[in-house]
Amino acid sequence: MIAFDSPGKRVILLGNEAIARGALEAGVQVVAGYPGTPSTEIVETLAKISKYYPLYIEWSINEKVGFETAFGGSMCGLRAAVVMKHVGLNVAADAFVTACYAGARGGFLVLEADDPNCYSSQNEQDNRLLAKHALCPVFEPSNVNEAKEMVKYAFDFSERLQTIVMVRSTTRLSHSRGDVTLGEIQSFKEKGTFDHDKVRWTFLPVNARKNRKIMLERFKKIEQEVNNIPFNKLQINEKSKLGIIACGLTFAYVIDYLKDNKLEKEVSYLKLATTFPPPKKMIQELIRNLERVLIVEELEPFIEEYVQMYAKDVNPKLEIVGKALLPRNGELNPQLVEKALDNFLGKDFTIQNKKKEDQLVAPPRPPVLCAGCPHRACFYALKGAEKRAGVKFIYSSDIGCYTLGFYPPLETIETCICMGASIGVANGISKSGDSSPIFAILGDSTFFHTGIPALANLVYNQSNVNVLVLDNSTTAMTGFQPHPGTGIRITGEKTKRILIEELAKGLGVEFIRVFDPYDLQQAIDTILDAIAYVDGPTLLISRRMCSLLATRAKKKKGEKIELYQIDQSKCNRCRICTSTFGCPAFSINEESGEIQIMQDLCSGCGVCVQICPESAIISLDQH
Amino acid sequence: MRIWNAIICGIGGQGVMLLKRILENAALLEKLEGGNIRKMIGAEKHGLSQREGATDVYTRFLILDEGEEYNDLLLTSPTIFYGDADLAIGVEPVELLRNALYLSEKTFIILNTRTFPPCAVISGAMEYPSIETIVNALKDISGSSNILLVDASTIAIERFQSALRTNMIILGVAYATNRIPLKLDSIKTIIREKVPEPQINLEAFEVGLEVGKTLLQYL
Repeated sequence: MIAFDSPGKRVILLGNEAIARGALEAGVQVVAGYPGTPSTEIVETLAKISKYYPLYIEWSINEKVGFETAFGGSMCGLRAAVVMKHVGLNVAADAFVTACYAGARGGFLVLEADDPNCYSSQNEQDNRLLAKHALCPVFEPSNVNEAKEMVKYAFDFSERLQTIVMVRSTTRLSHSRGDVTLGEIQSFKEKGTFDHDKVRWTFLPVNARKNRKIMLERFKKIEQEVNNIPFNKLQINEKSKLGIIACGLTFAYVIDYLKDNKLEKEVSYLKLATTFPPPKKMIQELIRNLERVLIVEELEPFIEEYVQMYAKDVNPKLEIVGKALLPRNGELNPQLVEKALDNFLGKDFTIQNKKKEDQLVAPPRPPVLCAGCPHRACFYALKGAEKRAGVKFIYSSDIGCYTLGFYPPLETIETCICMGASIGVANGISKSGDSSPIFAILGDSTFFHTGIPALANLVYNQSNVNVLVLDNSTTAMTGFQPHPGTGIRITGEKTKRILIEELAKGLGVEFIRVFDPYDLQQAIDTILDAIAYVDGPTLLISRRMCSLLATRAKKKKGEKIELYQIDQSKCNRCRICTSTFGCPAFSINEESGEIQIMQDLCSGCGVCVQICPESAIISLDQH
Repeated sequence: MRIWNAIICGIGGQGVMLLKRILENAALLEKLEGGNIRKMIGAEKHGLSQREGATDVYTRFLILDEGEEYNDLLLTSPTIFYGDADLAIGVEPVELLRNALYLSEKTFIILNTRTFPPCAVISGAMEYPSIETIVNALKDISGSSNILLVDASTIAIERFQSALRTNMIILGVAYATNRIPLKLDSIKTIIREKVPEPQINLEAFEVGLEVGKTLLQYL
């Protein structure tokens, strides 16, 4: 949809597609990223069109490598971007903080998406704080169309001031849709040329001290410039003693409330797009004659603290309200903002719903491992092995679909901190005196992301940890991105495939086994062999393609998928299938109490056939 | 000036997102043809919700009368206020119940009665409320003449031998109620041009229209 230059055309874009289009219109030529909800579609959108433009794009193995790759592009004078979710910036932070000293040569954007409310994340950190730590300016769009325009503007800003710029989206914006007017795609450079300015790029202490001073000078200029950025909008109503500052997307909630309730003329407001550094002059102009100001921002009281500082000079009596009326955790939404504004302005516009939240209780529906998921089979095998060994295992895990093994009935996930932490945490547990068998469970993509150094660490320190890689040949949770273990690049062409078992052998792991989780007996035997091995780490690879991908591939090839059914004459309704295995393809008929297999969900993995004690699960053809 | 809000709820894989995209693309089509719909925005859920988790999406249109001036600041939030939905489509009953705070007396509800109990219910850890309980709770909010029940999943399997057509049948039923401020032709054009397997999906949409007309007689 965003592929070709059709200026003036109006299309509906996802927030992330608009960000991608903005980068394309600005002439971006090097893009690197690591998949992570809610940022993934930015890279995917650009990948689809990269062959039509002089644009290099890659899935890097992690965000740090991605950052460095894009930075290399900027060093050569090309416009470059690195794309990641908020926690990805923690991984890239080592490069990020120092690179911000050097600044950008070709325009360089960190396109990142925060996840207030942890919709698909392990935390809801506010990356404005990391940007402040690195003195990296932050732009925050308030709607989909503005996201595209702002990315374009940010590239110019970055190049003109020689600074790295962060464009901070959030889940809500990244996954909103709105209609956007396409602009012109700027010309691209023929090629990049490395700038041999060694002092700028080589952070020996002597150079670092120099670059630090240059950065501080640059930052002073940025602090001035942000007062002139068109995306910051100040609306002063002389008569009003009340003011509102709304950051990024929260401006949408505020302006909808003001417009809906015809209060737009009653308050002064500042729509804030550059949240770091904040435009001091604009904020002081807003608050100078106010009695009270409300700061609407998600997560940390970041702008609120600046306003407290800025008010000292111009209006020390100003009453500053922010987190006192709005939560510091979770995502803001129209109702929370409405409640805060009602309170702040002394109004009551809330539509009364007859029902209260606690009267409308619905059973929770957390995401589940899909029907036929090889992870479910592997978890079931782990529990089987636990039973056979007569000992409780310790399960240290990681970020990916398999984290869903936390939920009943599988309940085989006990830790999940961040990408790659399964192995490091398991290492520490193994050295702490608990003699239970320990499994570090992680996916194939996660293994490449940050698992490799941790595995080397196990070998080096001879730790008795069983590393179990659930290799489903894709990055499933974020929507099936390829990675080094798949032998496929982002653009679909073939590349060198890195086999995890060969890599581990090279690292010096001596016990390595690959098994198919769909064969439960083989899986259990392999797991038991591994826990009997106590001369250092073991590596088990549970290899079976993601069932969604496998089903798609079979359908494409026209291959038959063997489905299963329940022979009701044999089924004694022991419910082992529904209460211990928990495949979503099972359903229980409300009237008859019969357990059934929903053929539209069944993927034909055949694992349930192996767990039914009555042999009541049979092929659909056997009738 | 009028703002039209719809909420569509279901579970990952039921085509909730597709319904939303048909509505918003039909709206864009009308806007480009000079119609009264001047802006369309909305929010989706990606990522974890795809794994058969709860999925709820919003779509919003800004509708201006003749002579009213367009302004970029009219209608900006991609999500809606509680109680502010004009149309609510529940492709799965309990998922609409979960989002009932977005409904009020002004909401017209289309509810597919086919239930998909979450895993916690199948494994026996929790109970799924009866369909009567759910319908009564919804009626309490929107009024009993503002809700249309349809077993679209069964119709889809009977008429098309595939539950995949459920969402198009529901769209047809919803359109038949006259609660969607779009032209029939715009929706059909989008199905024809932007939806995979357009022919069968158009047929399912037409079936939904007929079913909807019949159901309305009994409302």
